[in-house]
Amino acid sequence: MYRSQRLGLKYLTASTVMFGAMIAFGVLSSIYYIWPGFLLNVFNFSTAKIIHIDGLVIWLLWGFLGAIYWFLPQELEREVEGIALAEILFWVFCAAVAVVVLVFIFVQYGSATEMSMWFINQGRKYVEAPRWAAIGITVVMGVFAYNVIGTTVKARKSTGILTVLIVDLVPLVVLYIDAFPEMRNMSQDLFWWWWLVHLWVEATWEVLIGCIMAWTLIHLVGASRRVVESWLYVEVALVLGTGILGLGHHYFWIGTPRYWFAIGGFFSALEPLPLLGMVVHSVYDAGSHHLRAANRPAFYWTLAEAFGNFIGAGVFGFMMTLPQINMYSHGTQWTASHGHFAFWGAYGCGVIAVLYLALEKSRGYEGLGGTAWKWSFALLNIGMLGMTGALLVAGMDQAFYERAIGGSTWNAFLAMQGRPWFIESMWMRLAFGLLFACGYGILVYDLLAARPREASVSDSMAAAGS
Amino acid sequence: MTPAEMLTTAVLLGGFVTAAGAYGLLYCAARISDHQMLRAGGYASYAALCATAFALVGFTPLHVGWKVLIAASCAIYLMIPPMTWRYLVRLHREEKIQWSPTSSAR
Repeated sequence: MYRSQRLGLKYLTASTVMFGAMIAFGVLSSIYYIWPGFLLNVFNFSTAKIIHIDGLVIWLLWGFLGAIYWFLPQELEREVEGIALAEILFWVFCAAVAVVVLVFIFVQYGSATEMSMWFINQGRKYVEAPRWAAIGITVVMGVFAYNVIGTTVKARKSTGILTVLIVDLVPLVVLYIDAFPEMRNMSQDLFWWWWLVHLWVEATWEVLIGCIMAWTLIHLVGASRRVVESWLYVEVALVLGTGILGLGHHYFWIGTPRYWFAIGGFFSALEPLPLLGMVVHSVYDAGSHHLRAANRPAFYWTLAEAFGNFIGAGVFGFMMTLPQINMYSHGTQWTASHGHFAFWGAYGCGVIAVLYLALEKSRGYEGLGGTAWKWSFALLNIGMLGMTGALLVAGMDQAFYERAIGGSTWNAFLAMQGRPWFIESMWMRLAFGLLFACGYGILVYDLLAARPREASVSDSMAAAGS
Repeated sequence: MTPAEMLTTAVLLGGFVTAAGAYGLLYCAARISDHQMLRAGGYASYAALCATAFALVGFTPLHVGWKVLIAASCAIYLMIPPMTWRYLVRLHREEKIQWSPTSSAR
């Protein structure tokens, strides 16, 4: 095993731990909606939510880094350039995240000074990490880019997947710099902030996970490189074609010119089209392998990725993306339901698929067995469906009573908190959140205790047939 | 747009994409297994997609531009699964993969 792959495993392990922390703070955040006085003057809701959301970003980012450090040396058949620096930065990154979380938990907030921005909280949603940590993340991403590009240059060869990845690294690093500007004009600030948040999530991350899933398919089911690369080009073109200007759906209500209604609505409405193509591709692949693969957990999580992405981003997104609907729905639990499902489908399932693939290869198994993965697969997905369903009902209730009828007043907001449908939905969200947490517990158990699969005759026939 | 119209329109928009997904899924499943029920399910899903598009165009207060976009999307959704399928079959055939979907020759 290459050193880079060992580093990849470390990142994937850290990612799994952070996934757990994100769930814990998500469950904690959901409790405040039921008991608003929960941990009053001890630990406030906004800090729990910050750790939940930033934890989401970090667990996925670590998962991506782990996946790429895992696949890269296999792709180029050589050790990664600058691996020693990458190994040091892994520990620095983990230590920095731990310090930031501890500051969030024990300090929580400070006065509106430079000192708070540098050492407590930068104050920008999704990128709240204090300025020193944000600079650290930029350095880590810069070294990561150097690892990938430097290794490719040294190897004097490239592949289609690698070329797409390298092109994607430029905006991935550059867009993060958008986390830094300090603008006093709220509209200008949000305008550029969305470049970071939306274009990371719906452009650069989409390409990143596309590359990772392409490698996953090659190693998981022996998919032809030419097929995978051809499909990757098509999907990347479609996703970027609709995703980049789909940014406009965040510009509806922040003080930007009216033409963003047309641009944002139009390109957002096109976003489900490539997702449907992905569904077709996944059904084709599933059919061609008769729903069987030696590493079934990774295979099923790969399928879940395509369907989850379609439902979470496509269905839930399209419901509220046109300006006339979005005027009432934005910022409600409806948005939260879309966000939860879309992140889970587009990225979460993909990272778990890579976890199982790396687990199998690192332990030298020929396939993975057992039943625990089925339980975790079921509980995590049912938990997510339940949570997003509950949030959708709560969000629709909010959009209807608080926004459309109540006129978005403070009074309407407060009245909303006591409405039965809203309260019941919050209870349902907590219940399904706990179910999701159980699924995570079983996932961790399965990752630790996984054993090789005993191949059956039918599997051998299926493998021969494919 | 009244509050009730807002909710109805949103649900119809969600139903529109859900029907498109169901059509894509069942279309592909039918081509893999050559099962009549799946094929009928695919047609039924596309019919539901058209009905939803009709309701969105005819009975919701969305602006004309969005209605045109929905009508056009309805036609595009019809083409995506067969076009994608043909592309995938061609790609795999060129790679001389042994497995051949029952419908690849049709």
